Amino acid sequence: MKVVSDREPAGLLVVEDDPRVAESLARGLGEAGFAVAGAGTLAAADAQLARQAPALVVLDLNLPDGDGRTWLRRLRQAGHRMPVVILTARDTLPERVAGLEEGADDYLTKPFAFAELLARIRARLRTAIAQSDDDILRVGDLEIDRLRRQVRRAGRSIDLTAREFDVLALLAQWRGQPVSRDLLAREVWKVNRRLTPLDNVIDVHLSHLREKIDKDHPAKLIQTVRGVGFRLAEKNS
Amino acid sequence: MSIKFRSRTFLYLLVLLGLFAGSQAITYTAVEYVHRVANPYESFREGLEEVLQATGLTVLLLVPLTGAAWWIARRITRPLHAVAATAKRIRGGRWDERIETTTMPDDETKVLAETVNAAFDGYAGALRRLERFSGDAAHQLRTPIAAMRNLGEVALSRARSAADYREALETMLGELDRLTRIVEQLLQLSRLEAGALKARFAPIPLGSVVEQVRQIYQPLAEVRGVELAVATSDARVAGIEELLVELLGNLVDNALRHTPKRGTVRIEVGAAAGEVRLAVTDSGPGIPDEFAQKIFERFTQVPGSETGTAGLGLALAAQIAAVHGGELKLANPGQPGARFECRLPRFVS
Repeated sequence: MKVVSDREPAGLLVVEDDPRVAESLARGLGEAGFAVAGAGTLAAADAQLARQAPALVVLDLNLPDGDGRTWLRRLRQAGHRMPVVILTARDTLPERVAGLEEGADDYLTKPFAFAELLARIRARLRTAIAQSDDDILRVGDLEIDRLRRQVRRAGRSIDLTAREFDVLALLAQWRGQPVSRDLLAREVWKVNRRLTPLDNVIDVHLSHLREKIDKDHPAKLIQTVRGVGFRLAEKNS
Repeated sequence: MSIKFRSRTFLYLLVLLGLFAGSQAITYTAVEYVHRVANPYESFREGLEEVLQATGLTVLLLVPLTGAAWWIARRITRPLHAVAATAKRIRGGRWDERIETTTMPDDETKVLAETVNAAFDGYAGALRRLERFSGDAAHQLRTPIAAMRNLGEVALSRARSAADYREALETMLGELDRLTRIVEQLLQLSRLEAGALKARFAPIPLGSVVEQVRQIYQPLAEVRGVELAVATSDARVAGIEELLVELLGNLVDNALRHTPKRGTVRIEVGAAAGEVRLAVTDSGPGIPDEFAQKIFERFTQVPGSETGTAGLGLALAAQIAAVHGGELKLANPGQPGARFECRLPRFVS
């Protein structure tokens, strides 16, 4: 598998007509190490595409000169195979299915957590930093064996419940990056936490994990990123 | 519109009557003419007088008859005009106006007027609920917006440390999360109300829904020192599993929030002929009588309960029950240990 390295930033094309959203996306993705080109209309997106094909497209569906899905279909018909992540405020199931059928690879509903968009872009690009297919993930002296579902810190084995393990494995998968509560709820509990109250449940699991993993060690690996989510990292950043 | 038809029929009858009288006069005249040609000795004047008399009499009779017909027709249609006029006023925004029925005779028109009044009562009620709801929604959205605005303004009011700015932004994100949740719940409520979900129904064993929810909330119950007891059955309902998890999840979360340490939250599934009963009972203080209905309305907070929720959870649960053809009720208002019962139609293959 081809791995995109840090030094050659992958080119992203962000097709979004709301200037504030476009600007904050460009800034955030730029700071995350991507070269970002923006387009406020489908025509501008076509022009960008003609100049240089991006590694990935972030596509809003509602654009002043047309429907993003029509553009996406044209893009696929023209033979472009790069991943496309759709951003939209329309989130009915049929919309979602239609978007994926037109050839989108992922679908995020506004408002979304930036951390989650970043996570998904990285997952689509399979950058070495974020996504790892290794069975054993390491953060500092913490070792997470996803195959055997075993956890060790400083060589000592730690007992976790199945759910605690799932939470830790998800944090480890995105180590160094904040993981939102929404993503945890969806990936670990398979529910939408905006509709099934889950915050207290998530807090209980995080406090158990802290107890088991960080309590006896001066270096705290599990960090709370207030307002965003949780992060597994060697030190605060 | 059978009543309108009746008064029209009446008019047609009178017109026919008039035509009959007219044709009679013409026939009479014609007969008289033939008779006079056959008897030339009779004076023309005599014959004409006879004809005129007969025609005149008919015409004279026609005038009061038409008048009577017009009067009767008006009498019949007048209440209908009143109905139409009132409906027009209601459409113009006077939602509380109703058709006056007390002075109407007991006939079809009165039945019609009363039916129309009842329909307007229904619409006006829905409209009032909708108005109150959007008012409430706007108010509920205002609170986190106001909080965010204040946080931003205060943060910018003087120079601060990076840590202070960071904290302000973090708190703002927390408020945004609250706002997002309210919007998402309102969207879900309107999606549920729009219906069209039946196509996605599948037979769901309630036991598996209960097990999923138990697994989610068990660790929280343990931390709270609350026993989560489950009595399940293998009964099935036709529905959407994620919605049923949402329904039960909201009930259990609610129960856990109102149960003191060393208390119990009980989830029970009971099957009877044709229906399945899903019940969640807590050992908290219970819900006062006057809130038995209100708690299922949107944005209702029972005084004294812990805040931080928008008060949409039970409304959502009740709407999910309704979508599945069932009903969610508080079984024991005014008693300690609130018991929520959800009756759902049982799926039989």
